[in-house]
Amino acid sequence: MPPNPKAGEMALSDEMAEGFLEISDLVRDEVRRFRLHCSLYVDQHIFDLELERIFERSWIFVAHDQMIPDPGNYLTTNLGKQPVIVSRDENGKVHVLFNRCAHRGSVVCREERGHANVFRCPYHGWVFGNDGHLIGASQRNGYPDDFLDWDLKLEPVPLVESYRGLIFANLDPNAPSLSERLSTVRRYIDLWCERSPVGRLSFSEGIHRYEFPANWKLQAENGVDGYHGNYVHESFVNILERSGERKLGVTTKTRNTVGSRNFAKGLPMGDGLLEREDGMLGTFDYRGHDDYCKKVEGAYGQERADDIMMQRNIFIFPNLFLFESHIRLIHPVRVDKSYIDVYPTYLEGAGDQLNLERLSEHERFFGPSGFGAPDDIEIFVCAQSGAAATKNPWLEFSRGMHREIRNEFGETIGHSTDETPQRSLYREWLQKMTTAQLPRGQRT
Amino acid sequence: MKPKEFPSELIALLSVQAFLYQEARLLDDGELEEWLGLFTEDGQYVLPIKDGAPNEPAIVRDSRPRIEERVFRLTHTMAHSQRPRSRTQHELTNIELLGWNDNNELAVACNQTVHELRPGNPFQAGLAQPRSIHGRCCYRLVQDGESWKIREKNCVLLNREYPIYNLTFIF
Repeated sequence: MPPNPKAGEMALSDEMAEGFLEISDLVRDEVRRFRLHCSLYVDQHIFDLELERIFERSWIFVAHDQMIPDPGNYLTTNLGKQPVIVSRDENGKVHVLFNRCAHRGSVVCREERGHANVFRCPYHGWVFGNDGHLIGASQRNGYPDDFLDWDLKLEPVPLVESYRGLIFANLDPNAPSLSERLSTVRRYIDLWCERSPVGRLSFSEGIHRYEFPANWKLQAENGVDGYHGNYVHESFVNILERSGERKLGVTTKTRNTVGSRNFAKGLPMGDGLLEREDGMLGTFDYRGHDDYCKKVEGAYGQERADDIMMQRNIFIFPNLFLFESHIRLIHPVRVDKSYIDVYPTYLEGAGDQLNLERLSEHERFFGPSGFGAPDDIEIFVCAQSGAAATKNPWLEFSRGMHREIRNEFGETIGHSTDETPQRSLYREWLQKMTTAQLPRGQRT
Repeated sequence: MKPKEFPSELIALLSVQAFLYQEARLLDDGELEEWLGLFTEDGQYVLPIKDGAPNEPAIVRDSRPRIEERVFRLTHTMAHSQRPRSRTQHELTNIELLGWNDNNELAVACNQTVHELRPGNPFQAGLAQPRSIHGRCCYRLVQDGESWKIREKNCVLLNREYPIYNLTFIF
């Protein structure tokens, strides 16, 4: 843990209290230059506001259908700082319920995953169905006859919708629908799912998880950063050179070739992606797996298959990534502490052998002992410590701003090493953070 | 166990204990090439998450070539997560010989705690903070002259399925 990030915090909060700095001053979006104030990583007040204005108002990924495939399956997670249960009832319907007893507020489920028809509060034994309804209170005669009309239950999260098995929830009852929210990133989600020749993914029980003493946004920026690979992952590049999988110097060269289909894209609503035809560090190499490639071509056609086989890291604002080998979810814990959950995907219809090799390649790079991802995390931690320095507090996110273009889908397209996706992320961040709080009555 | 068997059992236990202490010392001294030499040519180093099934992800699932890759990474590359390099102290307790299997492998179990600290500026996040990581370790050892070689080192960490910060040193 950082011994004392407070110096930077105090300075900014004081400035804000004095009216010198507003949230809207913290992102400087100019003609060829884009800058962020470093307080975005260290200021407690900003972090608290992020939970309220971003995590309690956005569509947040809670689970994939196949993580709770059968009636009675459940998992528990947090939406921002609020504890929820994601459960599948006896009819197969998915519910996202606040994990809080209607009586005196204890959580009713302490497991992370499991199977249950009912949730029983440990405090006074009230029992709720896995759809949230109150089955019974113990020693019922202590309550009047109209007790059941009080509508006590495990409260449902206002909005729950899913797309291609990805289940999202939203604490804001007035939010636009999920399909509206995903309208511009949907085509990439489809391509990601179609890595499976039958369009279906499944998941292991175990997952990789990281904890790190730095702000959650450092991971959000990094997952679509095509600039850091040769520097942060020098070690992994050396490993590939040692094994003969990559020749010296090739990494830099191919990525800078004019006319290649290697892009960094900024999408509307804060999303973004990194897209490369020549592979991404730490991803499985499908070349030579002819049976699999033929299956994908057979299922979707040659042209579509080419698009499917592009390597993409897809960021869905504010905290979800769809990587080639896994789903990655960022959990903000404190201003300077975050968790990451990494769910490796299994491509249905691609065969066990290919999936095992794919998993092995995933394990080589990712996880807390992998040869790549821990080096990224080390850099987040370095950035967290550096952000406490306040003289010229601006961080440069300007790379490639002078050369990016817009396409017919409303996407901003940059060179694959440009900071185009990060600019998209922070424009949405600013938009959400500066939208005034909803009146009390409308809040959940 | 019959009384007359005591001496040989005890000698085996002492010999295994000395071998495991040697392994711990090599890791703590950063003698990773020598540590690698303790493994058989088909040796494995595994930190599982669930039950070790092949389709379940593991924190580490190193076959011999990947152990070599891991040692190469730690000794010959700029691995940022190991700059500064972790200091470690391995502690071994509850060492038990579980018995020989049909492949002439001796199964050994022990508990290990690795105390870790990365030296550096204590004002910076992640540095100069001692941590302890605990695991239940099972070894399959084969006899090699008067000593042993490791065919498998399998460590089930106490916090295996929970968020873990920087586990890039060797447990």
